Amino acid sequence: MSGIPSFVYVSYIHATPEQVWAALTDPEITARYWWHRNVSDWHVGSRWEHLATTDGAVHNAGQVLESVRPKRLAYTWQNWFHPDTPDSTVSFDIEEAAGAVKLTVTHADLPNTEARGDFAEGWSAVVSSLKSLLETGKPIDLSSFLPEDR
Amino acid sequence: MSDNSSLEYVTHIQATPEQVWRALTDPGMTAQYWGTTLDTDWRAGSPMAWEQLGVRIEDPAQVVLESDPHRRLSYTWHTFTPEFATSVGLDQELAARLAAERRTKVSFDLEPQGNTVKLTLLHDDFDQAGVLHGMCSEAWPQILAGLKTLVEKS
Repeated sequence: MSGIPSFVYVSYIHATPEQVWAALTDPEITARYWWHRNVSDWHVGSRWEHLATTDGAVHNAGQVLESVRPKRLAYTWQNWFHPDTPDSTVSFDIEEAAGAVKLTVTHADLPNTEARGDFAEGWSAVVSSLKSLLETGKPIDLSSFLPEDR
Repeated sequence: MSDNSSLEYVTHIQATPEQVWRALTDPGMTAQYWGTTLDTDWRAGSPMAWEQLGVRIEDPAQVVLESDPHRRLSYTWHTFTPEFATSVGLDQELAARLAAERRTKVSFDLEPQGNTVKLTLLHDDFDQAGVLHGMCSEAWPQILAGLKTLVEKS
C-alpha cells in the first residue's frame, strides 16, 4: 500500500465482453489502438510484455495476477518512466451494462502522485482509443502528441 | 483529486472542436446521449432552463458562466426541484439531501490534438459530505461515452 489513491477510469463501449477481452489480450489488436503488442498466454502467474510496435522494445512487463475471461484481468505494471519505484497493479473489470460494456480500469499501488497523473493521462487516451476502434474500426492516432517513451 | 469536492473526466474524441461543441450545446444532440436539453443562448451570464424526462427546471441561479465557442464552456448545475425528484424516482430523503447541497458548476475544455479533441470535464464545488458527488461520478463516464459514440458515428 503506497497511500496514493488508486486511479479509476470508466468507459462504456458498444461491444461484447468477449470483444473487449480480446482487445485487452490480443497483441494484434492492442497494436492498433495502444501502439504496443501486449504479449502473454494470460495465465495466472505468467509473464506479460508490452512491446513497442516500432522496434519491439520491451516498454513494460509484469506478471498476470488474475485472468477470468471475459470478466476480469489484472497484472503487475512496471513504472518504466518512473524508474526505481516498486511495481504498481492494473486491473480491468468488464461488465455488461445497458446494452453496452462497462470497462473499469483501476491502477493501484501507485508509487507517487506524479506517476498517478501520468497514468491518468495515459489511460484516458488508451481507453478512448480502444472504444473508438471497437465502435468505429478507427483507433485514435495519438502518436503525434504522446512522448516517444510512452 | 482525492477529495470529494470535484471530479474530472477526460475523453478523446475523433472529431473537430466545432463538432464536440455542438454536441455539448445542441438540444437535439444532448437529448440523444444525456436525455437532457439545455435551453439557453449560450452567452456568459444568460439563464439556462434544463429539461429532463419532460420536467422543465428554471432558476435564476442556473446560468452560463463562460462561453468561448469551440474552446471552453462552463455553467452552473440545475436546482433539485420536487418535480425533478419525482420524475427520476428519488425517494423523499434523498431528494431533500440533494436540494440542500450547495450549487455545483461544470466546465468543459476542448483541446485539438491531431485529428482528435481532448475533452476535459471538471465538475466542481460539491459538498464534501454530500451525495451528489457520488451520483455524478457514476453518471459522467456514461454520459460522455455516449457523447463520444454519437459524435464519432456522425
